[in-house]
Amino acid sequence: MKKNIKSILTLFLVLLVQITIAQEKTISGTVKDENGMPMPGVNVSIQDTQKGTQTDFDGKYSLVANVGEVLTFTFVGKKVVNLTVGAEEVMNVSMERSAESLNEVMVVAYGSSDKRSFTGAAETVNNEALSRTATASFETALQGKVSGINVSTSGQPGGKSNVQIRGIGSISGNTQPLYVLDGVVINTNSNLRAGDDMVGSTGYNPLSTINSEDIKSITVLKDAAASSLYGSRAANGVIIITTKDGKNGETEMTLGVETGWSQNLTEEKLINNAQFKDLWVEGQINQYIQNNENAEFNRVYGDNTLYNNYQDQAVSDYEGIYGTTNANSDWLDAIYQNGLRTKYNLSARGGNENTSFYISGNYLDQTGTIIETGLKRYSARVNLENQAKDWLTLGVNLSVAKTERNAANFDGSYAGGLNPLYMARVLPPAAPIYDPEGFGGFADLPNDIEKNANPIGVLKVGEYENTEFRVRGDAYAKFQIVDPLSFKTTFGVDQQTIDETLYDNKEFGAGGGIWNGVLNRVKSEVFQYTITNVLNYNENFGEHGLEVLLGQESQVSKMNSINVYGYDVLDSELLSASSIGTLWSHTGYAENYSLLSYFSRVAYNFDKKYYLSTSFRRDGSSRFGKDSRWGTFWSVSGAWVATEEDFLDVDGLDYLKFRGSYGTNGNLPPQYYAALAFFETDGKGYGGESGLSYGQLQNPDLSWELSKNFNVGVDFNLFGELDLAVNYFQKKTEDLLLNVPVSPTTGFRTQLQNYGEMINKGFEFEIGYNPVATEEFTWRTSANLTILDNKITKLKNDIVPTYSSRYGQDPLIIKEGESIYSFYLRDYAGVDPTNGYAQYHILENGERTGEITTDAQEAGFGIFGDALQDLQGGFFNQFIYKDFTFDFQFTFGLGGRVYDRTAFKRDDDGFAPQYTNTIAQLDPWNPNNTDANVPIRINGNPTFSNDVSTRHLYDSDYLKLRNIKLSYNLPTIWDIVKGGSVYVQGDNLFLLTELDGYDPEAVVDGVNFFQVPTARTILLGLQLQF
Amino acid sequence: MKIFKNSILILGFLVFQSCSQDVLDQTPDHVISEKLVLNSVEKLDKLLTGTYNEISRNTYLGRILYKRAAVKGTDFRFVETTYNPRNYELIAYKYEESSNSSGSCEDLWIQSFKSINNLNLIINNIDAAEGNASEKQQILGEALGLRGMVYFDLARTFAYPWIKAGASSQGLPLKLSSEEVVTERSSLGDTYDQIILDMQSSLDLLGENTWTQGSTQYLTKTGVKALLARVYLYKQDWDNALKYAKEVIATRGAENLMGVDSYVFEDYNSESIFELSITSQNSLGSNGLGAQFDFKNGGQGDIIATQTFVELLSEYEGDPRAALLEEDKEGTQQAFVKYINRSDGGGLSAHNIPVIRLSEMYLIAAEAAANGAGGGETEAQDFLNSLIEKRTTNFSSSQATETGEELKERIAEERRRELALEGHGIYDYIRRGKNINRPIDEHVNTGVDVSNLDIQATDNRTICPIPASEVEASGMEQTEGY
Repeated sequence: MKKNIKSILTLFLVLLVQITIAQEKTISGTVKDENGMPMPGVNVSIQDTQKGTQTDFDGKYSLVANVGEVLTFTFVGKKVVNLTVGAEEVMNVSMERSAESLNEVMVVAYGSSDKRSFTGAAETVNNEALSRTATASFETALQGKVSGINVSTSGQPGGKSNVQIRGIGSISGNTQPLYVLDGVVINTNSNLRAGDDMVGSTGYNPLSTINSEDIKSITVLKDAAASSLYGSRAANGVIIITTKDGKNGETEMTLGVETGWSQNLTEEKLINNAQFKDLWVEGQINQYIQNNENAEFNRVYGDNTLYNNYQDQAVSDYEGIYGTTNANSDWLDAIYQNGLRTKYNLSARGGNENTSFYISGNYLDQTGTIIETGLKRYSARVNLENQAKDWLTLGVNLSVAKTERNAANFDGSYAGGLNPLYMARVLPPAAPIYDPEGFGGFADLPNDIEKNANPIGVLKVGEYENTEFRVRGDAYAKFQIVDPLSFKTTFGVDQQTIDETLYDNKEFGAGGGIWNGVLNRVKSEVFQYTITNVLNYNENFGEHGLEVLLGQESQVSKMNSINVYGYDVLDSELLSASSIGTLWSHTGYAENYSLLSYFSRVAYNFDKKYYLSTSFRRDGSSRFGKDSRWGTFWSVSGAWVATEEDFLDVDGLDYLKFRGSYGTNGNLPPQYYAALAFFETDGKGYGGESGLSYGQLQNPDLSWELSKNFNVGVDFNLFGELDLAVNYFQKKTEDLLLNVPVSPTTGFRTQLQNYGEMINKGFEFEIGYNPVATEEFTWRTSANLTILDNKITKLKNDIVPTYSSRYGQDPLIIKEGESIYSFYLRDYAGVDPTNGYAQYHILENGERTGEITTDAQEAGFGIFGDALQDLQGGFFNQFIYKDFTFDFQFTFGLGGRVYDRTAFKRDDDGFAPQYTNTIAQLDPWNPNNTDANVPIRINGNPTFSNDVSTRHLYDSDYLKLRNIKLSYNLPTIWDIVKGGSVYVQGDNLFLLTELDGYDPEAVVDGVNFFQVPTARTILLGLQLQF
Repeated sequence: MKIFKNSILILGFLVFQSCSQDVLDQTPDHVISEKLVLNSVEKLDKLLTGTYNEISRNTYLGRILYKRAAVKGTDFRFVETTYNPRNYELIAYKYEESSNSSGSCEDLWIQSFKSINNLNLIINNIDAAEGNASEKQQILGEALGLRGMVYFDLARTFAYPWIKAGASSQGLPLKLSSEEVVTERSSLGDTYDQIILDMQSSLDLLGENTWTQGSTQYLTKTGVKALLARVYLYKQDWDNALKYAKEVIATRGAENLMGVDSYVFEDYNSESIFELSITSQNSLGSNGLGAQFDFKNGGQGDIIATQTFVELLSEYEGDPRAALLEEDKEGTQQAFVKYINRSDGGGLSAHNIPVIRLSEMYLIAAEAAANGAGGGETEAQDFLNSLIEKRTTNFSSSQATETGEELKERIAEERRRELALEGHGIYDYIRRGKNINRPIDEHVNTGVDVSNLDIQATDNRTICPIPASEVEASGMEQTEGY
């Protein structure tokens, strides 16, 4: 062993001596573009060494090199320039545009690749685009920017995003992509046992602790060739995040300050107090007629005395509840506010020949458009890399972040008294908000619409805070064993601590009444570590290029939580666990999971013309039973750069490449122990003794969900100005992880099984064009379009929705042969002019029989479209005139539909008369208004006219002005400020769509149900460089 | 080449350091694996404890079964829609059940089978498990008795009553082992045979009652006998109903009936034969039973007595049951607060839930005798009067002297008064083939469709449909009429 180390050392000594005897000198110069503008950030490296630097803000560089060495200048979108060091000391360079930026280096799975030799379907987005979003996390910027990806985002600061790459791949398994941060898979599981749907603040977003200013680029891996190296977790695509690094040269500092305002983009139109009273009274009269007069409306309306009797009775009923004066409450105005946003960012990057660094600090303070909600984030990052030896590079990427999030129980599946946003949107204007006599100045709701549920009181006096502290980082060592063989080992950690305080005060929310305040304190912690070892071999043999990668990885995640929940809280200011007077429950969980993997990639090219690549990964996961624990995933792909062929030398056709790939990916169940049979202990005691109960059916066969991906694509460049990429993809998911309904005689409703198949297929188009590029004026435009079709092709049995008296029938069905979010509804046929009842076309097996009925029970159901947009995309334009830049981005969708499930309580023809209505409820049918579009109004309406039917189905085609920005580049100021910009930016400025109060980009399943509205934001920003 | 070799060694070291296969064995620590439970008597005993907990949940005896029985009968109703009742069991009240919309029936079905599966695991594994033989016998006895009870509750809720078509009606899928999958429905006769078999086997295994305070929170030998009397009554086996009711009465005697002055519905009162203990371990709060009827302290109080019932309670002089009427949400005196929250805290619905009481034994004995068992009508009058005597200050004016159908009606009336909100309402109508007639003026503006006020005893909506999820998942036969 000793002898061997000696021989390595000898070798390096020899190398070192060689370098010292060579003739060194300092080279400097300026790099400019084809228009003569200085280019900052150009990479300057000395070929065959690890040395290099970057140009500064003025395009200047300087470095030490030897005569005879070759300097390589590289920059995204520019042709590479190679210059040999000669006698001169100043080497100025002019860089030209390159066709399709083929040499752009993109980060791919476990490495990097230039765009030309990459055989898969992937897209890179740089920082400039990512830091454009006004939300706390970066993923929202991808919407409309990258084809094949659809991001649905809650308007809640730090709220949950739903990111789909190439459609929805799973029914009960994970549907979110895998996120890789600086080479380490980050933990995005919500297995924290915090933020429970019923009591907690929902919609936790694991990405909100990442500062988007720190991100250098993002690569979205879409097909098997790109993502199969991530194996069992890659079925929903992979998003690789790379953070900024340092550079050789003078330290550059950047200060960013941003401030902005936000309000709701969408808002429903509700009735006013007078309208509410009129509708209520009319509904009450009709209820009396229905109950006392055998529902003979025409007769009673014709009999003035009788009618007036009932009217008097109804008005007196109304006044008994709501009093004689109108409260004229505006609940929406009371719960919504203008959000404020402030962001400070300071970063520095620099280094010398051997060491480079990037350091940043960030503070974000964002208040939501709902009162008492918001997000504060403090984050810092250090990225360091040191060339320790010629054969060894060491590096660290480390970030710490703390977020404080205030959000109550919004955006979940629960809509009831404890969801303040829901309450504010259903409470009538006749219910007073404030009462000087009431607790905290808030009124109790008339007639206990819901107990203790004044939403303003709930939010103002309660406390719903979630604090997360997160440390993510990795340390790595790269060994250049012997050229062309290198080895890299990475150790990554991801430590997450959540502290949640959910407090309902003694008057409002769950803490009202007998409870005297309810407090839930949760502490939860997840520690995840990852060890990755990768061996790389990269060599050219004449015209043959060969790249081999061998790797091994293990990942272990350990979760621990403590949760205490109880009532009788001494004081609203004392919210520690010991302030709980009486415990309801104290629970604790420890849940772990682990993954062990081996992987390999072999890529071959002939003459940089023909490319062939294969990948292989074998994964073992603790989430499955011993017998079905291991899975193998692979891909084969190839590409042909046709323009390299002599026979294809066509003028204007600068670049043409064909790509194809096929391979498999896997998907894991979200549950950690879904395969095991076990008994639960939690909450199973009786009579003072602890108890057990059967908790889960065993499924020893539970295994991977497998997706088979096929992709063909073509990339063009015409006249050096027009880029076009087209992809066709087909993703077939087999052995779907599915909560298969089981006979309830087992004691369970469903069991997670591998059953069913689903196909997502479609086309993606990307186009980029530079119509004008002069020294003074540049116009760039780009657009992308995705055509997507989702179909369930195999299912054990249809998952047919049933009626719930609280929410009505679920409008979605999961059915073989249909899209995953298909609407299963009655076929509404307007109002029967003779009696005012809602009419339906009778459906049998989904087909109209030709008959019409007013009996909802008889009407039958059919499928009426689905939520997914058939066509979705975005387009972007940028104009640069001297120091001014103006750009805007639109997004759009076509062919999707939305079901308005808020109608069950609000467009309900009186079903729940205590709630308000939208203006769509005005002018209902009565014997004096027979030509009506709204059915007869009866308080307590028993006709089901508010239940699912095409009456509440809308098109969700949309056009949205997603982002607009005007910025001015600052000149150098007193040699201190080297540059920068001031800008004004608008997000989500307008939206055109059919249904009021609905943003098709906020909801994935097409069901409008009291989501937090999307925020419209205006930002002012200043960025200074030192 | 040596460099290469060394590097491979280093690499190998790094790889193997991190790839032990053990890393893939991860188990939770808040749940217990199957093998730990099934071969230990101690753990199976805990499973029995957990099953009592399951039975006491709101989705079974903790609310649904009792509340559903009450709101489908004549004596209780929802408050008017303007008082915003919660929708629990609203579908049951409105008689809007359909094959696609079973209301609370689905929850009741699943929760019952959850209990049955726990019991099956005990019954199937107790023999082979390690532990004390007498403990085994006690555990098995309780498990069998409870299984009989759960199947009985399912039978009276999901199958037509015996009076409609006797043994040949559609019964239940009899899942008697945790392993097997049973989706075939047996006949009602087979279902009752199984219920009776379980209960009789249980009687053979259980020891005599101790009657210590709190002992009736578990199913005891007397508890099983009382349940058997009820089962035979539903099966119209009058002789056996009388036999077991009399055995219980012989054990407890009229001295344990509460009197006019001692009529207090507290935990473990003198009439207790089997009741479910509700403590902080299984408290149900606003989802529980008491909160449904009592709007004090944040309860919902959505269910109040009808005028019919108020009048029924006012017939006897000094009837302590009439004193349970309190102010309700609508401002009238129609809240029937039988379940009173414990004074020492514990929140809403903090009260035990009676499963079966001594007074019911007198009523069963009376009804069985009135239908010809034992001493016939005279004996029936004796049993009935023994109870009435304890419920009025003026017995002579309320004494039962009726005969024939009138006597049976009188017994039924007494059941409504005595057993209100204890899971009898609708069942007492349909098992006797009596229609449910709800006067229109008692149900104004409560959301019920007028055409659903008068219901035939044989109407399908008097019983629950097999839930759609069951039919979809297993293809189980739906009940005729649905």
